[in-house]
Amino acid sequence: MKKSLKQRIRTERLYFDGGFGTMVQSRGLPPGTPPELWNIERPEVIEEIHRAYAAAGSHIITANTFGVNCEKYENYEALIHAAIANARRAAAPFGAYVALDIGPTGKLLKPYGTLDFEDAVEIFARSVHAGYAAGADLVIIETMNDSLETKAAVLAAKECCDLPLIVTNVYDESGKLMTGADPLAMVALLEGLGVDAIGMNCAFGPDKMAPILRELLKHTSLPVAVQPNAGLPFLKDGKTCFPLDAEEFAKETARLCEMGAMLLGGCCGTTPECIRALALATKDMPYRAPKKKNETVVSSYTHGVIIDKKPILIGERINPTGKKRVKEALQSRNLSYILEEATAQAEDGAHILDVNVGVPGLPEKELLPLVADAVAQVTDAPLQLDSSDPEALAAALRAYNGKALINSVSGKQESMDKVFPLVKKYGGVLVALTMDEGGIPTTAEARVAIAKRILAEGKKYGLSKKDFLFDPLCMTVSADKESANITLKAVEMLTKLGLKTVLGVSNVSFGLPERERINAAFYTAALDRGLCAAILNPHSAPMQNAYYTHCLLHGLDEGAEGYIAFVSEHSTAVPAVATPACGSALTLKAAIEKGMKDEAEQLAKTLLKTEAPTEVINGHIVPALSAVGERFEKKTLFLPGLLMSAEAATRAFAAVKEAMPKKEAAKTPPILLATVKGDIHDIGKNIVKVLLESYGFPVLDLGRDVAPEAVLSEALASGAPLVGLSALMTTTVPAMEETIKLLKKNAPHVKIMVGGAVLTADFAARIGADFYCADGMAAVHTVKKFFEGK
Amino acid sequence: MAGALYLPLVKEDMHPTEAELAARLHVPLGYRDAAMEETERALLCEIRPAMTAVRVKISRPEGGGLLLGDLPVCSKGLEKNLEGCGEAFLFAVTLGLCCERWLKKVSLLSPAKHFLADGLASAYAEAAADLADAILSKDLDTAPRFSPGYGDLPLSIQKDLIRVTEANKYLHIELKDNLLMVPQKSVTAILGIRTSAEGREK
Repeated sequence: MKKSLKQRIRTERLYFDGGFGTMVQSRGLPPGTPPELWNIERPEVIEEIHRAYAAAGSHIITANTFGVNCEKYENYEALIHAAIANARRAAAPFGAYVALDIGPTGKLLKPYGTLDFEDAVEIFARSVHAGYAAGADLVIIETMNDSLETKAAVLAAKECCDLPLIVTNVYDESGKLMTGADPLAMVALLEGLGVDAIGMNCAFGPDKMAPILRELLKHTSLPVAVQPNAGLPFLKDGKTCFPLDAEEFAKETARLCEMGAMLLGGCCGTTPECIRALALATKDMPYRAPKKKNETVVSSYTHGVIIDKKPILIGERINPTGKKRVKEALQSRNLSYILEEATAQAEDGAHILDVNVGVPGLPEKELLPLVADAVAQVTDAPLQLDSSDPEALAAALRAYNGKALINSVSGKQESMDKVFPLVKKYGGVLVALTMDEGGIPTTAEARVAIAKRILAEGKKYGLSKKDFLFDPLCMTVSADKESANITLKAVEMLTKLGLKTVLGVSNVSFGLPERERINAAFYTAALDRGLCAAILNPHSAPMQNAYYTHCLLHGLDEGAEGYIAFVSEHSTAVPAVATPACGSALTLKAAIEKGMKDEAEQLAKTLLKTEAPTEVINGHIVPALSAVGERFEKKTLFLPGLLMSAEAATRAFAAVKEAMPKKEAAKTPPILLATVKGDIHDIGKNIVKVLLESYGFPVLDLGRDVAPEAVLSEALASGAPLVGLSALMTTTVPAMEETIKLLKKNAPHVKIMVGGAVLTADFAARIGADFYCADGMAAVHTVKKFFEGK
Repeated sequence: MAGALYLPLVKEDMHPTEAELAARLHVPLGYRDAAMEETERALLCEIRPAMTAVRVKISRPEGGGLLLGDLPVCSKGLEKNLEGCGEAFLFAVTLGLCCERWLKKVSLLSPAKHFLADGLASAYAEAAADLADAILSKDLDTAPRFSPGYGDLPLSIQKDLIRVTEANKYLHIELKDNLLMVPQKSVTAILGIRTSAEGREK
């Protein structure tokens, strides 16, 4: 029986075609004219180029659709139909396949660019629909330099057709995509999404591809495609030239074939002669089938984390259960605390961060992707998306820029029916709880039996051992003295079966004093039995101690580097709070003046043990701020230093506020700050925010590019007595004036202060502002005066 | 039109001027402190500076204005800047998307550090433009470079500059609807080549 194309991709060496744009230009396409226009205007030229490649030995002819999408062309369907038809006429006599070619949209995705992820999926989906309808045999997604855009294109292709799918990315010489992903990250992402082959194209010649290819081959179980340029381009007599001729290109690319790349072709600067020479140079080389790697791997937008012999730390701190500040952050959607916690966990060694947003009454489906995206903007650690709501998981997995750890599925049929399809579609590694409809079994054997059932059910979805971390469930030892033994035994049994394991270790000590002692001892015992990953508090020194000593003693810490670094950070010889060079103890006032945030917070907490909150404010924080303000005004301290001090004071204030009796800390209406509509320069506004907060004024920051209506509605909803507006560009001052007019008309009780590089006091008065602030400190004085006068 | 020249820039060759640093960070000329130096070290780990450039003929149509290659430009300021120039380089530089991502991260974690990071990055973007300028000017007599936003040269011309220099393709620079570039720390510019010096060109 004739093999399908998918089978051929898996089992044969196949050749693509090569460069196209330069080929069309050499046949008279005027410079600057997109080659795709000739699909309809000069189809005979396009067909002739395709035929030359097919005759040269290309098994796969790439239709001239790289630059076509619905954003660029209203008639994109006609262009794609014509392209596929041209390629088909050329390919048919040679029995070659025709590929729909999908290139980047040319736009950056949010949050850096303007393109929404789902809009990108839609753009690609329209192209795939058109290509499928036109009769393409496969889809090639190529020249992608952003992992998230690659994911959008793959999802579109998978959702619109069942054609074979080959994806090639552009790596730079550092071995990363433009947006930071390394080869392992791309392997994890693309294998998770279920593509048929992966690889790289463009950027440089075959010689520079070898190290990247080595990494791809090390980790992927899929066939690997390489389509190099004919070397690095250079300008000669005003024309772009490529250094490698056909023979040289073939010789260099044949080396990549020797390494194990089995899908071969060319990109910029290559010609049918290159492909003919390449086919000839490789025809006698033995075919090397891709090997199954079976790595359990999750990834972020930059890198992958392989879960294997060396234990993995999963930070548990982004979870509202029992954490008031996380809960408040989720309720207010002010994620600063969560983001600080995310970076702090990563700095303390967490390899993966758990993200759980389950607060009764809050929309988890909306919040989980939102928080996961925000966390991914401040740390490159892969995420564990943690929810019992399959819809929330689906939304977060879809938008996640990587391959996530998913917490969790259980042995309940309903759970598996809902979660397994998500993993099949979006990829991911599953935390599988060894419990089912009957609850949590009381023996290790029964928990292992559930793990086996989960694995068997997973196989129906194409999942295997590598896709699971089994959690044999850690119960509190205070409720059942045997519970820890049962869990440890289950870890050992699962490990012997070749299964990977994970535990939320902190549960073991619930209800007992000095919990960290128990947690660390239990964690060590579990590690000794083969535990692969633990969900824990990475800030805990005893847990870190357990981790680093285990790694050291089990040969998992080359040169004892991890242990030494840990000890140097946590040596008991180092005092908790640094002291100045003179040896005298650091004071809160000095810490604020020096801009030392962490120290200021710690010192405020220490002072609160012996002094009333108001004494800490009036006796330490306010004097420090006065000193700093005075130095700034005398020009012996400058803006960066002023801001650092302000941030330190804010941290100290936050500690004091926590300690205040509820009545004293009663909510006062905030000062509203916004950069006006159309203006995205928010540094000035942020300076004012930092300074006001350092003086203890509550601030509600509406961000930048804020519409007048939004400022009004927030002013009314929050009861703010004062609104601060900022604009940097002359073009956005009218928006400031419009906002002031709207506020004066609908909220006449609200006073307005304005600032920004293009404003003057006169102009501020002319557009109706109550106060003009020339700089950040002027804003502080204005606000102090405003409240004193009230 | 010939294809654009794409060139990664060497970080070590980029030197922000003291005046640029003072202006961006609101500090006196020559001022340095530990926080600035720490932030600068972090910034240098994140930037991947690169440039693209094309060389075009300048023509002056009878009806007024300028043609830079096939790109029509109306700007008295630029006309004056390009007096005596028969050709020009159009170029773009960027510090790259990783720097953009880092700045976003810092902005979410510490406004004070972001102020420093953003100011330093702006100074380095100018330094990247200075370096590109120096590379292109080698052995040529060039006019002072002129960027969109200078005088009466509108920001809207950035769309064409990005297209002609293929900065979208090579540097991944995108222009937003409000005419600001992403990555933000990018510069486009026009660098006139003085005709009188062409005889000396090597």
